[in-house]
Amino acid sequence: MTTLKCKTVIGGRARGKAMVTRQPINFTAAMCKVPNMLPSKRAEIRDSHHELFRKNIADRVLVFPSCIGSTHTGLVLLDLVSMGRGPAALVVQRNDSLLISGVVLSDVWFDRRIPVVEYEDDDLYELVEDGADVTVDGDASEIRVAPSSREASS
Amino acid sequence: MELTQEQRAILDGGDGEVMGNCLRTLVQYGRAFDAPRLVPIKSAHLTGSFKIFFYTAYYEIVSRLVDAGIKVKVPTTLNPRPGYDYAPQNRIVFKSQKWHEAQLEALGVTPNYSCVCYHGANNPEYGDVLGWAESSAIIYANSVIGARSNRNSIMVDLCQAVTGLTPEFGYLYDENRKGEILVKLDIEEMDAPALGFLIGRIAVDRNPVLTHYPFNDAELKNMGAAMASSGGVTMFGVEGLTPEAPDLDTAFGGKEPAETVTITQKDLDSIRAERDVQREASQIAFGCPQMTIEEVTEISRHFVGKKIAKPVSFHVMPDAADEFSRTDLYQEVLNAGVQIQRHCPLAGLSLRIGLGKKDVLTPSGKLYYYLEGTRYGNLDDVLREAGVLDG
Repeated sequence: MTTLKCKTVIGGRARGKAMVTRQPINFTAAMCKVPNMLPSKRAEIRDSHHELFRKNIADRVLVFPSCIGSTHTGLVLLDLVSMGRGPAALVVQRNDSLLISGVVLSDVWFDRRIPVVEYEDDDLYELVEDGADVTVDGDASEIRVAPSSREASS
Repeated sequence: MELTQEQRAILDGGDGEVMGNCLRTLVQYGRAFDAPRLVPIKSAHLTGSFKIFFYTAYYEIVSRLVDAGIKVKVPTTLNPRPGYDYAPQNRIVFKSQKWHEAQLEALGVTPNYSCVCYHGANNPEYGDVLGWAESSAIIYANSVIGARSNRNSIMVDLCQAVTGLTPEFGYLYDENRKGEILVKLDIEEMDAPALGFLIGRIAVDRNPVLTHYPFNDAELKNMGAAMASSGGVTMFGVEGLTPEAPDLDTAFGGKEPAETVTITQKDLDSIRAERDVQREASQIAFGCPQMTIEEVTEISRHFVGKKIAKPVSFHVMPDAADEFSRTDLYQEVLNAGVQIQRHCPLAGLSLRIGLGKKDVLTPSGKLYYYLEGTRYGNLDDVLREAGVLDG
């Protein structure tokens, strides 16, 4: 188990498989697309400028540098979080007003939230591998990464 | 966060539960950035003008505000309409658009329906604190006017409008408005939207300052919009042109830039689609952000006495479109075959997918980023594909 100390932006605890990208995410460009408007596919990255194109972020611990783009971002995250169909938690290198807004709105108006934590150092991408089993503990300001099955058996 | 007695009373439900939640949204939002207090705003601008059938939570909150009889406390403008009548499929996706507009107008919002709110409907002055949403308007207000707004989300914008307050953090402080990246230009032919697109990618969320170039107003608008799409840039400077960058020393607050980059002509040209790819586009769209009167007048001159080779739409600020419709030039562009539209090209064109996907060619860096199946061309490219420029 690797434990990373982080800064809590929004508290709470969640566990999920990590989805890791070094590329900033434009949630509006990613989510406001026709395939996400079908009931079965609500959280696919449909931004063709992004390396996670066509990946579904639902229930994942999304690890990325920062949030870019439109102020519609809050609409996207508010909907995903309030309906429990978005990522399990967000780990960002730089906290951002748009990223926070949707999660705060969901918390205040619908009483549902996900943890958001900030971890600035670039070693984030070495310590948290894509697909790793990650617990984001906003209450303890910790990111806990379970050993991969390969490491565990060796 | 330090709250006044009056603010605490609102939080406790003194003005009703809904108003309490509006203020609580701002308090929690501010706490995430260690904001010490809430400060008054001069105006608000709302981005959530579309009624997208699929997203529901935002409209539910707006309804709660309307039902509680809440009104905006400061002048508040509104983003463009999505083009409900533009295509049959738009009437499905933007179902209840008229209902949503009535809801927002019931809150006392100015029905300007333009993302270029800062030209006419909502004119901030240097130093004003704003509670705006719409990334292209925020970057223009901060950079070109010297007003102060953070990048506020949909719905947070409305919470700010009805309380007249915003949490104090980020771009409200002098120290966060200084340049971080110096951008040197090594180019022969300016293409401001492509430049903005490149700078957004490099800067991400840091403040770029460009060495002097005499950009006109439309170029500043279109370049900033692109930076706020491919990046999360809130404020840029242009040496000797924008108010907080009279010279590089002032722009960087007396410090050395953290990074210096040079953008070349080759870099700019890399954003343009190959000529045969441009040729495949079946539609051309101008105006994201919407065209101003100066911009539509200037571009229209190329269309006088010509006939377009493929469909061309100009997406114009409604007020500017009204003004333009009274000119002779307006008749000339209609005769050339151009459509003058008052809605958002991104929303209006988003739904052509699935009903025979058609590629769009645009000289807008912002539209290029957001709209699926879009190619970028500089002004000459686009005019040539429209069939109004030889070569």
